Amino acid sequence: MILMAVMIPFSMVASDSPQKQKKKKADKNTAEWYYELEAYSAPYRGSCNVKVWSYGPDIITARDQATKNAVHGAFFRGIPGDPQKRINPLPPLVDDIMAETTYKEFFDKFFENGGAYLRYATKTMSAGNDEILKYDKKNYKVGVIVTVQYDALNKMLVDQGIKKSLTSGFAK
Amino acid sequence: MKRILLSIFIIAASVLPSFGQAALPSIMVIPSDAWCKTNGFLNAYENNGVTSYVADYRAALINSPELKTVISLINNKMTSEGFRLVDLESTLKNIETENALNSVTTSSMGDMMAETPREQMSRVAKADIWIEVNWYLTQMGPQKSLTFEMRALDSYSLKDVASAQGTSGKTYMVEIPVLVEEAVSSYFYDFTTQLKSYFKEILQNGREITLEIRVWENAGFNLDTDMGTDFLGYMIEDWVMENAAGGMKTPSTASENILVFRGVRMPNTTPEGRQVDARYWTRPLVRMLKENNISSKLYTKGLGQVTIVLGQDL
Repeated sequence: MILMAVMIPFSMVASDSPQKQKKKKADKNTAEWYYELEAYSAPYRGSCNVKVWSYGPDIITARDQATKNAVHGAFFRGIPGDPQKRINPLPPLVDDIMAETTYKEFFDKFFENGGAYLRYATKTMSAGNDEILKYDKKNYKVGVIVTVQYDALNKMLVDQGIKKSLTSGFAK
Repeated sequence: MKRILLSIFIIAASVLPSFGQAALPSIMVIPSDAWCKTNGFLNAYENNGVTSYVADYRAALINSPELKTVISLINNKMTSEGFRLVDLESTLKNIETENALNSVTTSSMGDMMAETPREQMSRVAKADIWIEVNWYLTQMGPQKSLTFEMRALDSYSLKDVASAQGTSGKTYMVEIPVLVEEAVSSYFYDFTTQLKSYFKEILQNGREITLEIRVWENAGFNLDTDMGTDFLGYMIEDWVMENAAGGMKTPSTASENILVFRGVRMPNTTPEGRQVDARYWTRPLVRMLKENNISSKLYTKGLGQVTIVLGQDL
């Protein structure tokens, strides 16, 4: 009985394909905010281009994680500015520091693979323009330009009740 | 019976949230005086040796397509946040039409509509929050950059409640409207975060207004007059203390003829849930004065300043 209890979870892990495991590792990096954002250009018409540096056990996984990291960054970290390029930073869209915990169920579903986050971010350049660095023995670091629909994300958060609108509290 | 009670509860629940809530502030986007001056839309007038400046918004809107772009960009963004926007151009057109109609409207006896010069002057564009915008282009050789400023003024207190400014990166090719659009997108979230904290404060503590009490020259009494129970000035001060929502409650100026309360906060609604403006909030004060045989005349300036002049009611 004890042997079965040990074997079942092991067999479940073992049944995950290597690609799935790599994806899980990349998702873990996102959940632990293990990625970097770099200002790329000034925002325009509700969207902004940001360079996302993601980590992953291979180049494809790290590259694919960029859109998720960009949206995660827009929610919780904000988009950094660049004084040299004179790009103003954008504040994090989620203004309640406890929101990630309070609305965990929503964010887990939103960020699941193939989830709604894909509607709000697009890799804007071909893979040939990516910057690829061998970070350490096990990880690559890949820089990708992603367009984030900042205004649309903001509206979605308000519609979902995660963020209060500017007019909340006033009689409409 | 249960169903009826449930329906009553549901109807009440849907009505209650809008009852007793503060009115949504109206917003108007205008060019700043500095922008009007740089672009030749600020007219100077000499009056008794004092130079005063009046911005010609109508001419600015006709002659500057960029101004229209900026106003509509901010209008769009604020509307998508759920605000009621008062459009500067439409308001100015409306005032022009109103003036034209008033000048030809007569009664069957040939009388014109009564309007004092003060009433004429106060019939101007009104909004709770003004968003002032200013921008200018700096050319350095073939490169240009755009400096953009945006600030929100509360028309009740005339306080600067949010601001954002910055300069774009240097560019060779980009057209000005695109630079302006980039600037609005860049600073809008900083700006609205500040506005949000200000609105939160209004909702918690009420709106700031200015209440001024003055006495007509030949009134035969002043604020130091003993009314039996107390001096008139102190009676008014007590009323403010009892009825203000919070913030400053002591007068910033107090003399025998003038009593000024700046930054005094009035509640957003009455205890019955009616939305309040500065004029309505002072209604019980005027009544209290009348009960003490003090006649008074109330004047408003904008939405947030009330002047009550004691001694005559006409």
